[in-house]
Amino acid sequence: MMLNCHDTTFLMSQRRERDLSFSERMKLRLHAGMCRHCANFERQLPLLGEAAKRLAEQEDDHAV
Amino acid sequence: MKRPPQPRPSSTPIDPAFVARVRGDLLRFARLQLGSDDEAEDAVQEALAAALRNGDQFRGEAALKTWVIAILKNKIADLLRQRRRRPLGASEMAAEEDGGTLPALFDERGMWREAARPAAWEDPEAGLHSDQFLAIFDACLNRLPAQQGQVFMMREVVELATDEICDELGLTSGNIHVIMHRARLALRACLQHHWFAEAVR
Repeated sequence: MMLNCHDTTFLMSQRRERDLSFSERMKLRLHAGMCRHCANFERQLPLLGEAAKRLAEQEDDHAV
Repeated sequence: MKRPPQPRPSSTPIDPAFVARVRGDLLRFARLQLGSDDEAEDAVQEALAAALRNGDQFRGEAALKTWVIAILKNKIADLLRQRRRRPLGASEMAAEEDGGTLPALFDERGMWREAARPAAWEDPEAGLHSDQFLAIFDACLNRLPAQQGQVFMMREVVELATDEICDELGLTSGNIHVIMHRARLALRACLQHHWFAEAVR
């Protein structure tokens, strides 16, 4: 069954917290292969974590 | 005083130290699933009592432990089913509090609404070196519902594992996955709107 964008982004997000099952990975790839919006979402996910770390470092610097 | 009708059969009696040891493991497991100390405590107590009633059928502690865990899983599944029929508890409510932004992003079929579609971002890495970008990201973070922001920071900055966040906040791993998804959707949308969409930069 084809996932919608909501479910696909949910799996993409969970992938940063847990291992996805084989079938979850297949469904995700199938959708992301056809949907560039979700593909963009996936590409942008790591940046959110990196930005949060940068921000925390910056605040540490200021605190010193 | 009522006495057991029969003395225990010749198989090994259950060692209290074993029960104490297993109890800790079971509690951790139950808390993770239920997100509530009291319910976890009760479920483990009942599972142990049920298992010990028939414990003498089991040869060896490993078999007994497997049996207790099977009973506990059933109890937890029952509790979660009951919970779904009840109004949400506080921790679940917190996970629900931002459900309102989802309809703004996805239509009723769960597809991106046109205005919310993630566009390709130009040179996203450059933002990380820009104070202005980080100030906008900070503002986006502050706009998240309090719990979303807290969980997001625990996960992405402190780099706690999901189960550690669960223990800390009394949430289930399912709660964490939902909270993280919403936080990421909101942060991404906020950045797209306030940073990447700003025409010329």
